[in-house]
Amino acid sequence: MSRPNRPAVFSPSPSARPHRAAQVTPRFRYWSLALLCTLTLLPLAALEVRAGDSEPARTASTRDVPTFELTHLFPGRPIVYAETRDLKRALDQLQDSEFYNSLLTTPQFDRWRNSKDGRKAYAGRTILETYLGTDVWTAGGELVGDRVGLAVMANESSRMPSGMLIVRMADVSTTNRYLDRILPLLELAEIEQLDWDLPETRGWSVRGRLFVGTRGRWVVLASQEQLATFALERCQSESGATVSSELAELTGVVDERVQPARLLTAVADLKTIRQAAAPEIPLQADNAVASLLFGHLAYLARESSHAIVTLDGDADQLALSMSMQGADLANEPWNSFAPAVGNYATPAVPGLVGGISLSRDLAPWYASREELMQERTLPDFDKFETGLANLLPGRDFQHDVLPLFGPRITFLAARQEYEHLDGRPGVQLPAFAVVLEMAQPDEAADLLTLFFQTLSAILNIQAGQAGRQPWVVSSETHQGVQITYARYLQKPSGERLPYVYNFMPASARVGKHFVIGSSRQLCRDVVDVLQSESGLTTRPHQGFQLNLHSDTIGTLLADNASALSAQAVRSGRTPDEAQEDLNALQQILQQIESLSLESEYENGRFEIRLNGNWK
Amino acid sequence: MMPTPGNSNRLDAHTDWTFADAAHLLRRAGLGATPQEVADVLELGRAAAVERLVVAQPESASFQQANTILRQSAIDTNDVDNLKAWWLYRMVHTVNPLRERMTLLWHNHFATSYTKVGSIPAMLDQNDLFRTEALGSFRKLLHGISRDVAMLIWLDSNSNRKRQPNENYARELMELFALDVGNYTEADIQEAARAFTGWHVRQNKFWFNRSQHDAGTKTVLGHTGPFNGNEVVDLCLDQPACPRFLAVKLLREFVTASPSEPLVASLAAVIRRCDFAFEDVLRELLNSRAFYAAEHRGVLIKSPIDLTVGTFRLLGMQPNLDAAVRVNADLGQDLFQPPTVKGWDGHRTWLTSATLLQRTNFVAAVARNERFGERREADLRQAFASGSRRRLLIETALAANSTEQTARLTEEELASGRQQQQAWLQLLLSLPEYQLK
Repeated sequence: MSRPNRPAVFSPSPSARPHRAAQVTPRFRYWSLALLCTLTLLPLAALEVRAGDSEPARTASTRDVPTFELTHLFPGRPIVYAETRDLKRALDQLQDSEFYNSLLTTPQFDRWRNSKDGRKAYAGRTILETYLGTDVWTAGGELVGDRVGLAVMANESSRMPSGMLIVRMADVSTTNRYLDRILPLLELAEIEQLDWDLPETRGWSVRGRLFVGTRGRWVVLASQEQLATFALERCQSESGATVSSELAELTGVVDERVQPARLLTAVADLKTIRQAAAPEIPLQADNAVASLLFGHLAYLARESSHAIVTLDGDADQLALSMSMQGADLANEPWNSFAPAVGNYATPAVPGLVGGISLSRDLAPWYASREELMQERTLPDFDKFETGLANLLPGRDFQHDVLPLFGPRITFLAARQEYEHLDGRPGVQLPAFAVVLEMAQPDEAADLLTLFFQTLSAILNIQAGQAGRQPWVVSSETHQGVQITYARYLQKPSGERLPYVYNFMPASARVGKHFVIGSSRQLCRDVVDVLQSESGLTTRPHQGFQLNLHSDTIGTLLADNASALSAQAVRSGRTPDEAQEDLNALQQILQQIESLSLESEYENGRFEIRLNGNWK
Repeated sequence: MMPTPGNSNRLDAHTDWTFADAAHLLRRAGLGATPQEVADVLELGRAAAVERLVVAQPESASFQQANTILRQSAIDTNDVDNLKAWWLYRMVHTVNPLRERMTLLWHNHFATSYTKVGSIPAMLDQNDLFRTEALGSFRKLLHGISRDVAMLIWLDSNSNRKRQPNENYARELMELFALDVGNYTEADIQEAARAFTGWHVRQNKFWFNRSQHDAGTKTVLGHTGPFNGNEVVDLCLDQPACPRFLAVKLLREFVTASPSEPLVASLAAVIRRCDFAFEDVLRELLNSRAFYAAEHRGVLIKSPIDLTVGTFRLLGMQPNLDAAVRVNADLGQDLFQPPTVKGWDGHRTWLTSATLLQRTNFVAAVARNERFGERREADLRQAFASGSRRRLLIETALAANSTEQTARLTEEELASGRQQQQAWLQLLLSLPEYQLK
């Protein structure tokens, strides 16, 4: 197995000595802090997108990886390394996809296209296409469609880190064709042609800050001349070791995720970045739910050695993952992860809109709230406990309530058929249910039944004051399970009933699980799943899962079109614009199959994945 | 041309008709207008312009569509903020602004709060009643409000029973709705309360609970008989104090905060002559010399609704209604939630050190295209296209005598930059004169 000469420590010239040791400078601190924050916040940003439960996509074509390893062209271990492969295939699939093309037909796109910004963008595109002599899709595919590697390295001779971008284009003629078109443009800038003593190599310096070189099908951009020549010297020998081992060697991260058979693989050396930037990452959150779900991310960003981001995709799915490793949550007193028991998959009830499953040991998290939460949020916990005391008199939440429950909770939303009404509410909410795992089933079930009854009584008083139908607590037996539910004294009737009639509370105990729902039917459906042979499916190591189904969401939107249009008009849209917005959203939803977001924690490695499937 | 002084007490027809007159009419009787709308009204002539305000104009299809979905959304969600947004939409976009202004006037006159009523449909029904009779008959309105579900809940009518009368409605009917303090006695209230016994709400509808009605003889306002609620309402309407009370109300809304005795007497006579038909009353008032008199220009302090809706209409905006709901509440005029049975005191009470600062913040946000939605860029360019256009904008925005004081706003060269235009607009809307109408 031949291997290129990549020094352990980069020393291309006396003036540019080892690049491994980070030279900490103030500007570098800011830069690396920003990078660290970006990597840390990436999964949080991904939460804005709703998510499903498919496995990350693997692409068949990327199995046929070239033998030459791109990583050989980088002289030392980078702080951040990102590599893309086969982007042309992804670009082609995107361009041909119904999803993308349907977006282009929306009135919103049309409005943007005719706006000032849209006209500017299209003018720029036209100029670019004229200049390159081809359309942007083809140019994109030819320029970055094969292999691209980007590295950021510490730089002892400068305040700024060094950067290298290496692109392998489809073939020599393509490289030369674009070069011929771009060079005259570069002539307009202050560029200087360089005479590098390398065969078939051309090089330029842009104001001494950027060095550009080409050799065969390779294009190299670097912030230092020696980095450019280092890569150009080696880029012709396209043979070498296996792909995964080289990526692992370059980045110093041995992980199955660090392998280049993906659209994008990026690795960040968090330890070095932290040493260089010394960022202050606060552990305390300002929101209890965010703290419970993602509070540990701040800790992981402070303690992990590496962060890895990957992107996989093909014609009908996309998977984005971010993982951090090297930090052990298990030793922290507030750790709420319960990877040993795993997490429940969302029960597949009829008309499922979406669900959130969570596996968290709430007790240590709740007990440590004063450490984990910002001071100003703590009074909210007191209010919560005071409010709960009205429903569960004489019980302390932390000491009497939490120990009764297990770590796994599932929230569900599903379409409802309104069997309890003659008509429909004006705003049609999905039915909601929560499935609680009980550590002490008998005591917990009694407590929850008391809670259910007290809440029904309080809401009945409110209903009476507001002139609504009161509830009568009733029960039925379904699949051998007693379901307690609240029915209206008289069946409400009307075409557009008040939204409160969306709710028909129901509860049931099935073994160590307690179900509370806003609809009797959903409660029955969950009981069916719990009573089935397979019961709730367990996902080992999973801590969190959120999934959404676009078809039922689309139906819900259609059912509530009037309310959504009203919301848009209130925000300043015209009725026609509101209708267009809704139509466009429906159109997009029709193209999407499902979305999921899930997290896993195992042996010091935390991973969060966003998966999307479309039709 | 400025109006001639000395006409302040006369209800005979005003003779002049200038851009400033037209702008004054649309500020006071409408809810504000763009310079172009003022120019259109100027073209019509005074009488036709007033006619267009008092006679219902057909609303656009878009308006009706938005009206329907916003109204329905308020009912569906049972959210009073959505109800407020619905009404604000009507105020900002209607082609019948006088009708909305009068609806607001009656909302304040018969002040009822959702805070106690707790029913969106009931508040909506009451608002519809105000709108239907906004320029109709005060007789019908007073009879209607006496059976209005929201009012009955608001004034505890279900506890007004034969053997234990509740005086709330009878008291407010005389004190706040029809006669004013000093025009009735405590005995009148006690007797009138008996007439309203059994006027209850059942299943969200008015219900005459015969078994709880006191059908005995009562003496109310000097008349004796087995009166029921309707008859007591008629007795109130027959009192000379009633048209006087309403004349003061109208003059304080449309003309001056301190109307003179002759002017009150003149308008009261008109109200009596028109038998409380407000379309005729307002037609006369809005054509009168008193309405256009110099001493009555720029003397009324804009209410929060005048300020916010007027600004949106001045600039032709499609505002963010949720933000508008919030700012009106902050400025002290929370629609559907007046502070007491007396409603908003208005006038000088609108301005405090806090609300003045908030008013300035509001216009600054509008001028900078923040929070309340974007103005259309083309409209903005047109408004600033020339000094003469800017002058028209100033004359439309500011009440009497302001144009001279703010001449520098038009004389200065204005660069075409967007930021400078915004700064100019902010300066205009921040002038003290902009707080007046």
